[in-house]
Amino acid sequence: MLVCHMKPKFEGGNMSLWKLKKNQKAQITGFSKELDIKFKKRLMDMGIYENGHISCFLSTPFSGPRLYSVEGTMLSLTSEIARNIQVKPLS
Amino acid sequence: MDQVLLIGKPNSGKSLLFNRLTGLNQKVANFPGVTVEVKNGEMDGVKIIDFPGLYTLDALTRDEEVAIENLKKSFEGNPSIVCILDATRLERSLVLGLQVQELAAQMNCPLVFVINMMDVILNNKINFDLKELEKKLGSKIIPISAKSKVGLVELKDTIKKMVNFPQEFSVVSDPERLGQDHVKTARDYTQKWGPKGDVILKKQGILDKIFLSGFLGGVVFFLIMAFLFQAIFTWAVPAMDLIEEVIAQLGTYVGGLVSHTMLKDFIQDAIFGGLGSFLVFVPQIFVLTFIIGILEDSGYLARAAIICHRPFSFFGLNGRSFIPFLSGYACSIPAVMATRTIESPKKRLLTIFTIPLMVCSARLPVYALLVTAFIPNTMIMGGFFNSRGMVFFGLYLFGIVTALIVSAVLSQTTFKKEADSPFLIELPPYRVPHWKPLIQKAFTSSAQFVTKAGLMIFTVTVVIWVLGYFPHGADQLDSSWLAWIGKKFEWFFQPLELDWKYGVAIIVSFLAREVFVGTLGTMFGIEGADENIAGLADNITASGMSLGAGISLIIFYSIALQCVSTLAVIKKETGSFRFVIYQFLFYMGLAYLLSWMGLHLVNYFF
Repeated sequence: MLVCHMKPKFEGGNMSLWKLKKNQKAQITGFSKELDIKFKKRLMDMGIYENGHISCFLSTPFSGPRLYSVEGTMLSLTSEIARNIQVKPLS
Repeated sequence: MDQVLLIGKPNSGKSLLFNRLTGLNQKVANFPGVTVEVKNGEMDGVKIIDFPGLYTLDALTRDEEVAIENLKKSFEGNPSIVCILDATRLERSLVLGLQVQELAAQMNCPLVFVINMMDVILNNKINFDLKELEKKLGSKIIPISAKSKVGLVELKDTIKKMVNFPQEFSVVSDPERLGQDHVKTARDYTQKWGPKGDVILKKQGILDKIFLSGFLGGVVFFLIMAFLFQAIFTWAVPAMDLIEEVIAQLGTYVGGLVSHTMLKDFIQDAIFGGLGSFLVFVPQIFVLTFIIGILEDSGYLARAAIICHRPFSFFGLNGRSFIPFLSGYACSIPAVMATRTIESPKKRLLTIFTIPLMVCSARLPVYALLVTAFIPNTMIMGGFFNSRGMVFFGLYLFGIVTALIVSAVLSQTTFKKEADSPFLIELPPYRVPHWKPLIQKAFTSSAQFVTKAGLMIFTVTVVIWVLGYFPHGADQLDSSWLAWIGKKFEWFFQPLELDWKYGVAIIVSFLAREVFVGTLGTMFGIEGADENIAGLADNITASGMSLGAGISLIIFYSIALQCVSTLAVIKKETGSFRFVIYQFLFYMGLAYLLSWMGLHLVNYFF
């Protein structure tokens, strides 16, 4: 298993990416410790790295994968992954 | 011959560029023993190798590991490297580009960067400081557009130069960059010199709001799927009829040239009869590969995978299982090969395990025969639906429902401990597909089907013919070697109320399902049973077979894994003989059990 299914807790104005609402922008502030290192590396290669910007573009019905726009590309992430990414919403 | 490696991300326009460079001069080959497919082509005496698309050189799954190991191995022969970057998504493609460049420097391979899709940048009048980027990267950059053929002449000249004077193209990277993380370097370079702004994203977002929104997205999805099935069953028909006709005529003609009775029987029944019943499916595979190709290149398939992800994950599968399942409706062989795109080993195995339950085109003639023989032709529900049509639809549904249930059960039992990885897709931009590579791909997969399955089916037909013909010649089936073998296995099929003839037909169709109709046809003594399904159906009905036995036979065919070619491909793709044996026995047991239950249910109620 590359991802832990427990819901990690974030503090200090941070929240999980999955909580980000549609059209909301945020800065990526970290990853939960449960995330496998190999998988974290892949996310970084795909554009999700600390201090980078991300915004929720579209959510699909029944909590399906959501679309996030990251540095010029569009990624589809499931709750499994998005819950392990820590972000700080930008006003 | 000098070698040039094309390396780039998926959807970077690599395949189109490869086509532009090599024209029709190309071959598809697998690395021996692994599942990485590599295309070879030739350009003015230089061998061009199109490596499969990679996201990064850090492997996440076993399949990527194999691909990357092979890439590194290929570098040992000091080939020239052409690394493709995507101008519309420079930062992301630069991450891979920098990794490849580093590897090229270590292995002493000459390298050039190609920046594709420059037409988009130029059309939108976006600033892009190529000169400075080239200087910082320390390798030559050639801006091109594979689509509008801009820059291809310069690229071809550069490739020839690189092959002859490799030292001029060795990598001289900026010392400041040493030790720096590639992700960071890619970001710095793009921010400083790359194109400004999200060029494509803004326009494309509107399309995603249509294709991925709840209700509308679902409607579009079902419309596209309906179109696909219509195409397989209508567009392919004229070509299928033509093939059937040509082979029948050819058989009669060649048969007419031979005067020897036995040889004539052999040529007409075994060679042309057997070959015809199987070549007929080639147009369907061609149409399916072509349409799936259009969906893939346009960017829609990635969206379809997202739509299917949630419902599929409920059954232990994943959105990426959708494409292999779809191919499975034509033939399991390309479908099993299509599972290579599933990153999670667990979900890949589950998908491979359940693909054979999709109603492949080889089951079609079998269903057509059995449904005609056992289901009365009436109009139901106020005359809107035909009863046989409904049963057909029901059989398709039965396939996918059984697949989902089997997958749900096995993901919690047999495959529970297999390595898993989450669903993650980078959405390719929507694009208008280019027809040339698509036609080529459709030809390749049709040819693969013919060579992989053809020999097997041909062999079976010949063996059946010999066993059924000897020792007493035509019209003596009951005393043939085939009957002798069939009667030995009668005990096995007795509980399903099937006699030895059906037993033989079932046994031989473990080699390939479509052999069933031909075998039964030969045994009922009808010439050209494949062409005349109605006549054979009448014979079956007249032989006094009960409705229950008929239903049990249909159930058996919809579940049993009766296809040696599929088993061979699965063995190759999974690398595990145990997997294949388990899968075979599993479906055998399930088919037997459910047919038996079907038989008794029908006998109880009717």
